[in-house]
Amino acid sequence: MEVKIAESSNDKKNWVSKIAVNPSLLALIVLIIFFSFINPHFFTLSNLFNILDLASLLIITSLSLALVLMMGSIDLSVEGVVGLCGVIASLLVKNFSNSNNFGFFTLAICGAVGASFGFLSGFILSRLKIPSFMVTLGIGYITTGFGVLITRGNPVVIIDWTFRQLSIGKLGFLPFPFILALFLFFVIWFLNERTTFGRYILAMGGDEIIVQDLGIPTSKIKTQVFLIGGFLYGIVGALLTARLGSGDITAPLGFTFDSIGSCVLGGIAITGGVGNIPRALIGVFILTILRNGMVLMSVSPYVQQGIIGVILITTVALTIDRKKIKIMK
Amino acid sequence: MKPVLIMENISKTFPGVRALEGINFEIFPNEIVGLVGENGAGKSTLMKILAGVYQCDQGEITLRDQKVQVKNPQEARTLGIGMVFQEQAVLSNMMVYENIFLGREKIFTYNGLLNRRTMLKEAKKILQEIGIDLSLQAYLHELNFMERQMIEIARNIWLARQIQVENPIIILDEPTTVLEEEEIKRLFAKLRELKRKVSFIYISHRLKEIVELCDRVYVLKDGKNAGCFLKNDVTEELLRSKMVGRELQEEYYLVSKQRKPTDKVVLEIRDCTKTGSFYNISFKLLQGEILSICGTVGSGKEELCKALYGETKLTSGTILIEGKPESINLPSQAFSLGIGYISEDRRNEGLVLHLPVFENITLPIIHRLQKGFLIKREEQFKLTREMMAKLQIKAPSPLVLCFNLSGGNQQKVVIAKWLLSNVKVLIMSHPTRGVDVGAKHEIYGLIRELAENGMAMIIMGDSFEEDIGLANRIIVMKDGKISGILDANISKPTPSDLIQYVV
Repeated sequence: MEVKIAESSNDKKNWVSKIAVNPSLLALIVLIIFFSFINPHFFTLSNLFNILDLASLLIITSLSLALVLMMGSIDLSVEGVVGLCGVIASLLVKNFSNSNNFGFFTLAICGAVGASFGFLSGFILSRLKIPSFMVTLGIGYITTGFGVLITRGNPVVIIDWTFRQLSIGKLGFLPFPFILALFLFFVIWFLNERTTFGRYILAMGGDEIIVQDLGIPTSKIKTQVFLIGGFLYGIVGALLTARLGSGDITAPLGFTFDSIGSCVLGGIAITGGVGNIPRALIGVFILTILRNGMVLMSVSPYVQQGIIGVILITTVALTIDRKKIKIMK
Repeated sequence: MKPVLIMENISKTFPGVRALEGINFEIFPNEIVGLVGENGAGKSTLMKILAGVYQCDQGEITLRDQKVQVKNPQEARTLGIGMVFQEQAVLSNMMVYENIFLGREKIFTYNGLLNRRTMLKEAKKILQEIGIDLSLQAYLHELNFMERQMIEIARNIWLARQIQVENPIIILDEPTTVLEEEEIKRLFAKLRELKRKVSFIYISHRLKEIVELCDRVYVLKDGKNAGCFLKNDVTEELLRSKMVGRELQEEYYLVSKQRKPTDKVVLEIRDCTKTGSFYNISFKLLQGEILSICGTVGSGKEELCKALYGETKLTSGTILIEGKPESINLPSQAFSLGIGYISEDRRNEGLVLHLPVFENITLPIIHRLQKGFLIKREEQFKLTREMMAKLQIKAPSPLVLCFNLSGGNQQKVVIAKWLLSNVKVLIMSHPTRGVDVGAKHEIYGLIRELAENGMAMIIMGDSFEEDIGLANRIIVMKDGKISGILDANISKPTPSDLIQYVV
């Protein structure tokens, strides 16, 4: 019997209809148009690069959260690990507190420190079977405490100007951290779409029991995802220190929820199994542009927070798959 | 021709239950073997042993002339034994081709990267071969049940080819329960076509389908072989007669204590329909009556009971309580109208396991024990002690957590809860499941006592014997409709009387 099988379900759809079915992308475009009309300073080249610069660190942490959320877990240790790695970075480059001078090698060390805490989270949650919520909350506290301990809570001022170029330098017009973020975005996107590891993450978010029954090492995958996440936080920690000129444990305050919020705004289901990496990018830009636009409109910062909160709840209300969850706690 | 699979003298015992006893089972290449038996006859245990979910205590499995021990489902898969269960093992958030190769992507990776093009090509090939017309990049949640079944079959056939197994065995467990007539025809045509490459084990309660489809049929009864019949010999009547045939021990169910119900109608349902589950159901329930609803899994009886206590909504129809039409949309409404429900899953739905006995028993009536903002704890204890004495709940004190009680005592706590709250109608789903024999007897006693005090009960029993033994009246459901109503007030019907309506 001869049967024809279509390789793709959306051959006929053009790009217009693709945008129309992606509410997040639609929202982003509407936001850009809205702010462009409201404020003449919004749609300028300098503000555009400003937005890219503002978004860059959040992009990197959101990449990690995207993987974690798609798997059906959550990571609350972002602030802690980023903060600790930032402090470590400040103590390793030329600074006012000690005589170290590791230069760009610092980036690698921070990555390694972050990765080891990520590994710890992943290992604990998969082997001891503790919910990721609790494990990462605990790791967040541990890393924050550690960061305060080694600096006694005081910011460490750095004087390594070449290292600071990592975050404040530009390549042509593009801010350097944005280039790095974009590079990591493509790596993680590729990893997620084109490797078995990446596909298993999504599969586990769909139904972990089925995946486990097929003999796929789910514990190992979980550990690896958190390890990658930790590595990204380490990099962000170093970049943050380079940007601010000092290592401060309180600097990344708000990173955890901004990262989760970005993923959710971009359309990654918090219940797992639904999403892709570009959605995280879209989410980050929605959040960043919303903030930037409201600043240009001189909306009070407190009102800004409120508006973002309302938008977040609305997004979840519109996207969440209630069939999967019987009772919300 | 040599058999692909021989299962010889298979026995399996679970704590307290002899599930299988000396079962023999053979499968030849290119055939569809039916497997029938009552609920609890051992069909699924046997299949789970074959699929590596359980290990048998005794017996040998010979697969393609080699003795094997299937240690886990993964190993079963590498031996060319696949399962397609009703709870489908597919990921609805992934695409068709990803689902087919799930867990086997290794051969499509080059230097760690997935080659999507070869995956699509291979998926296209296998789908073409088994002749199903699907978009490879459709998400599974966009497909219907039968299409998802086909994906699972495709996965198994592809895997067998990959590991170079000739003639794999695929177990189909109740594959037609949720399918429409038209789809069943298509499924059967497909299975007959695929028979050239695969042997199927087909488990079903629907004897008509078994007779129509299967080349050979095994009947199990009480964990033993009750016969094996070839296509030409098999009829529905023959299968039915082989499936049942135990004598009923009347006194075990305290038949002498059975009372005739009063004439007062407590609950009446008229023309109730829930699309996809049951259609045009009408019956009356009398005060003091024990009404059994029989039927196979998927006959609609569970759904009907759920609708009665408000867990699901009716599509159409009326429910009358003591003559007044009422709408029941939520369990809380059902409760306030005097309908209680005892779930078969008492650990999750019936009890709050980590609360003590007294809190569980008084939970539904706690608002009555309030004084201002405070709960009268003295009263709670008093009522609990009364109930514990009355129902002989064996717990050291009302403060013991329900978690620590035996299954029988937990069930009594659930019953006590409903007794205290003065419900008029009690719906019980498998009230004696997971309860040992002695406690079972006590629960039967309780049910009789409740009936005597005028409670009307709807029971879905664990076996036909239980249904027949307890009930004043038995309603049999089949494929969502009432297929028979049997009176058991004066003389009890036999299981064979019942089974002709059931399957």
